[in-house]
Parts: sequence; structure tokens; C-alpha cells
Amino acid sequence: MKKINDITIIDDDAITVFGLRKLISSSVDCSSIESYDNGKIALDAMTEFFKNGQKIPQVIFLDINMPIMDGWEFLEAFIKIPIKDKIRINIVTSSIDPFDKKQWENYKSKSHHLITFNQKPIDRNKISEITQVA
Amino acid sequence: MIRSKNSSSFSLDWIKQIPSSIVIVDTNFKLISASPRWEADFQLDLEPIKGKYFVDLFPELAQELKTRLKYSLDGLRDIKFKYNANKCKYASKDSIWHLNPWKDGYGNIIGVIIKIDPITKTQELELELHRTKLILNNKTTVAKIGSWELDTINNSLLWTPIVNKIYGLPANFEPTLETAIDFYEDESKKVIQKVVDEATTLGKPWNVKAQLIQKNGTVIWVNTIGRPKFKDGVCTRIIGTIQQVDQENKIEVKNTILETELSEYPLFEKVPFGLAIIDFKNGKFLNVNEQFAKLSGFEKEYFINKNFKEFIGKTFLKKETDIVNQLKEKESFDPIDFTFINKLGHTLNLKVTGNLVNGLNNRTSILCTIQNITTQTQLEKKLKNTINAAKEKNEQLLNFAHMVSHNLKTHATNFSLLLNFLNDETGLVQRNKYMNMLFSASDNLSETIKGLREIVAVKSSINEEKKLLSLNESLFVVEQNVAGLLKETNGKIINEIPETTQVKALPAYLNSILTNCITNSIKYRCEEKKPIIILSVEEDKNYTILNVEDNGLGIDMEKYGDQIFGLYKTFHRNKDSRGIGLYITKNQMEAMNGKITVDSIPNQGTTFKFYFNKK
Repeated sequence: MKKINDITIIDDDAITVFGLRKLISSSVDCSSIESYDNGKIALDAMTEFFKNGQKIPQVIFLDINMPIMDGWEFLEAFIKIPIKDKIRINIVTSSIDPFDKKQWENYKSKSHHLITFNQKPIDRNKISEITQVA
Repeated sequence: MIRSKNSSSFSLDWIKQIPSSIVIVDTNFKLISASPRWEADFQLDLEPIKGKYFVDLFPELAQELKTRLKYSLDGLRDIKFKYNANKCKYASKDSIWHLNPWKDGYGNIIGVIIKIDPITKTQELELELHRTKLILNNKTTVAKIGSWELDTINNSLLWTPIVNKIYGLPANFEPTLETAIDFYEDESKKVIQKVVDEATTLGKPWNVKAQLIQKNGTVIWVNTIGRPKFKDGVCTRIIGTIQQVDQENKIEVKNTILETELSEYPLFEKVPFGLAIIDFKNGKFLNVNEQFAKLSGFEKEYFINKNFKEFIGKTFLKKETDIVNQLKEKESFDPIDFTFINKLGHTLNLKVTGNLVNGLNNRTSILCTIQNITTQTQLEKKLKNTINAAKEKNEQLLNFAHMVSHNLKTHATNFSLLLNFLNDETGLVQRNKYMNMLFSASDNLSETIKGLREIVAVKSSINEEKKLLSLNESLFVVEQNVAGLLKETNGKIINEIPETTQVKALPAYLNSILTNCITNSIKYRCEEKKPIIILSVEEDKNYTILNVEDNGLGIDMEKYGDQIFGLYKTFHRNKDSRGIGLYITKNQMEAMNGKITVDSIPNQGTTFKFYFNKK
């Protein structure tokens, strides 16, 4: 298994964040896992990293329904940051609304990043499958 | 005018030779001589009546005769009138009398020559026609008769201001004969030129109808009458009148058209929908049926000879070219729906369709049927509204289902996740940690279900009765409930609502709306400011509007304006935000046939407007 440098979780639900952290750390070899409560805080952090020449996390787990800035808004802004590296963005949601799936397809085609759509629940196998460098 | 003082100085022997029926009177209307034929016609002996007042012989037509004789002495030639034998003492046959001025060798009028012709059928008809026309003209004579005088010696023309009006010229316009004739339409110009020439050279008066092009280009019909005046055998001036006869002409035209159209369409008046015949060439109504008139609220005659464009709106006019093209292509046009405001001010939805027909006289016209579809249109509209409302409800339901499943699924996932961890964990500290998390997950689930329950409650109590509630009383109850929160934050409520203000609402909803709104204002206050909430009321025709203004965090309207009332939309980092309050408030307002609007400036405050329907 290839080592991953940084992983980021963007989700407002503390339990989900806790669960993801636990799953990831037990199945993937990575040096750090950061988490953000909503899209806005995460975007600010990413923009800051980019400005300072710091590494952008290689894998991002993204929730859709969040206060202040939701997952889609985050994506919209994030793909506009001129990041050369191909980032893996795993959308994790319990939504069954077809609208969300359409949105995903839309963003997938718009960006050079690898964007995947994953419905909860996510088990250990799924985690190791989607936690790889894009 | 010079009248010969001694008319008897002329030899009148020639009269005896004349085979036709002739009688001559002098300027005083004394009978001078008559032909033998005249004597025979009227069974009169010349000798006893010679030198007698001619008019006295025919007392039945004294007035008519006198006027005509006077006209003749004025130089008017060939005055015709019909002698009705039934009414008179003399002669047994109807005849036509031609009056002409009698001139001496110098052109002086010295009397009147009256020639009597036996009447022929044609002449009788002609006379009849002429009379009818005159009657028609007189009947509809309007004040618009202008008179004019042409000085043929100095070639100057004078006319009254009415003539300027008829010509459409400014009052100070000074005419000449040339400019006056110039205004006539080409064909009419020739006619006028001719009658003027004939009047000047032959002394022939005229009475003609001609087409005049007004200054602004409008073509009108005028009736112009001219009488030449002679002096020493020379025409010195022509006097006359001019009158706009547009209206009369139309009446004549209309009558004939109505008749022909009616004979072409025998069922015209009998069909139960509106019919109109429109001239294809100029778009004028040729005829409409009663049904049509009833629809419009106007009299039938109102439409005749008016252009259809006067009655229809702009949307229809846009389609005009299309209609014309369709008619040219397939001799009919597809039905068009349009709105029409009738005489009573009612807005009607009408459906019109038409066919091209070639009628008598090779005239092409459009036969249109006009149907009143107002009721259908209204029903259609209602149906559409219902469908839309149902569609909206359906979408809401689907959204709701997605929301519910999403939220419950989140919790279910969390439970299974935590339970799995718990199952794998043996360390007591960790297990306790998982247990605590499970409790918190369970609380979250209860909270979510409570929220959903509230939403369902709004949706299911739509049919409850609204009551007239005192706004201040309801507010008082809410104030008690939020008193603790107010005290904690040093907040203040400023109530500017008049004691008398009442709104029609469901008590539970009003309470919930007010509580929600006030707690929101406190919850999302600016940290550095004491929260202030100002409540006031305004009224409009349909709504009592409650304004709730605060000095809190505010919301970026540009960014979130359209999502502010959405379910699970939260805009501030606040632990208590559920994204449910405003969604419920909006639904409650809408359930009471009201609405809610919001305006906000970030870091300055938010104003919510609650529209309570008065009905």
C-alpha cells in the first residue's frame, strides 16, 4: 500500500468524522488526518496552503449537507484554485436525491481532479479502495 | 343683373312655330307667350291669361315654382322639376319642366323660358333618384358646409373658414383656384376642372361629388356645388358651396353592402356564434351579425366600415402578416385566441378563425367566426393552477422524502458505525467513549425526528380554522417564554404594534412564528451589540404586515437569498442551528395564505416581513 501524506475530512457531523478517522487510520498508512466542520473553513485552509506553497491534501472526504458552505459550494470554489496535482475528492453522503448525483457528474466533468461519489455506509474495504493517490 | 324693362319690344312670333310645349314669362313672372302645344297640353287659351302672373295659374306649386323661376333669373340653367298632374288643375299628364333663363341679344336675362317635356320612365327614375339623394343629403347635413366665391375676372378665390377645415388647412390659408383644385384626387381633379370650365364658358352650374385629399393625406368625399354668375354675357364669378359627405356616402355604401352580404349568407343572423365579414383588401367590416354585436356590446352599425384593427390589441396586430399569408396560401387562417375589452369594460377571451370568400362583384372578403371562450379559458386557467399546485406539492413531498431518508440514514449509519467499533473494542475507556457517542447520536436522532414531526404538523393542519387574534396578546405570551434568553443577552424588544391590531391566524402557528423569529434574532445577534428587536405593523389591501427588525448578524442576501427558507439550510456557525425554523415559519405562513419576505445586511441586521392574509 502506497503511503498517503495528508488526508482531509470535511463534515459537520462529529460522529461521522470520528468514524471516518478511525476507519482510515486502521486501514491506510497516512501521516496526518485533518478535519473541518464545514466547506468554508476547509476552503480557507486550502487556499492558505496553496498561497504558502504548502502541499494540498492528496485525499479529501467531503460531506454535502453542511452549514455555511456545503459540499457543492466547496467543490465549485476548490476546482477554481489552480492546483496542478490531481487531488482525490471522495464525496461521502447519505443522500439519495438524484439531483446530488447529477451535480457530481457535472463537477466530475469540469475538473481534472478525481471526484468519486460514495453513499454511506462506508466499510473498511471501501475505505481502502477510495483512499489512494489519484 | 340687368333686367329688361320692356320685354314686349321683342317679337315673339317664333314661339308660335315651335312644335314643343313652351311658355315664356318675364322678370316679374308675368306670362308673355306660349306655344300652341303648351296651350293644348294645359287646355288653356293664351289670350285671356297673357300678362297675368304666371305662378297664379299653378297655385299648388306656387312656392316651388317661384323659387325655381328666381334661380333661373339668377342665371341658373336647365332647372328641372317634375310636374305632378294629379295635384294640379291643368294638364292630365305628368311632365318635366325645364327652366332656362331667357336672354336678349346682349346676354341680359329678361325672363324665363319654360319647356315642358312629356315624362319618360327613365326620366322619372332619374328624378326619383335625384330626389332621394337630395333627401339623403339633407337628412344628414352637418354643419360642415363651406361656401366660396370665385372671381373669374381677377381669378381670385375667397372661402369661409369651414372650407379650410374641410381641406384640413390652417385657418389663415389663402386659396387660389389652382391650389383649391390641386387638393382633389386625380380622377376628381379632371371632373372639377371640367365643371369649372363649363360653368365659365357655358354658364352651366354644377353639383358633383368628388374625392378630396386633405392636407394630412386623408381622402374624403365632398359635394361641391357651383353657380356661375354672368354680367354682360361674361361669367364674372362663380359662387358655391363645398360639403364633406363622407358620412352620407358611407350610409349609401353600407346599405347596399348589407343587403348583398345578407343575400349571400342567408343564415348569417341565425348561427349561434359571432360572424363578421371583413373586406380582404382594406380590412374594413362589411357586416357583422347580431351575435357578434351582442358579444362586443356595441350596436351593429358601429362596426360597419370601420377597420378591424380598431378593435383588437397589439398582440393580435403582430399576427396580421401571418394571417394574411395564411389566407393567401390556404384561403383560411388558424384559430387565434385573443382578449377583447367590450363596451361594458368586460375582458373577454375570444377565439377567431376565418375563411376567404369570393362574394358578389368579385369582392374578396374574409368570413370570420368569433367565439366567446372566456369561460373555457377561465376553467383552463384554474385547472392549470391546480395542476401546478399539485406538481409543487409533489415536488415538496419528494424533497421531503429525500430529506427524511437522508437524515435518518445519517443517524443509522452512525449507529452501526459506533456499534461496530464498540463490538471490536475491549478497553473500558474506549468503550465508554463509544457509549457516550451513541447517546449523543441517539439525542441527534430524537432531535431530527422532532424537527420532522414539526414539519409534518404544519403540513397536516392546513385545514384548521383561522381566528382573529390580537397580535399584542400573542406577543406577550411569546415574550414570557423568551424572557430568560432576553435577560441573559441584555436584549430588548421594542413593540410599536398598536393595541388594536388583529391578524387572522392559527393560534399555534402565530405563537410558533413569533417565538421562532424572536429567538432567531437573539440567537444570531452580533456578539458586540445588545440585541434589539423592533416590531411594527403596516396594512395594505390584502395583508396585515408584521415587521420584525433586529440588529443581529444578518445574512448575505446575494449569496443565500434564495435558500434562506430552505430545509436544513444554516448560515451561521451556531450549535443550535438546525436549519428547520425558517422552513417551518415559511410553511406556516403559506398554510395561512400569507407569505414571508426577508431583507438583510450582514453585520447590521435582518428585517422579516410577515404577511398575514386578511381573509
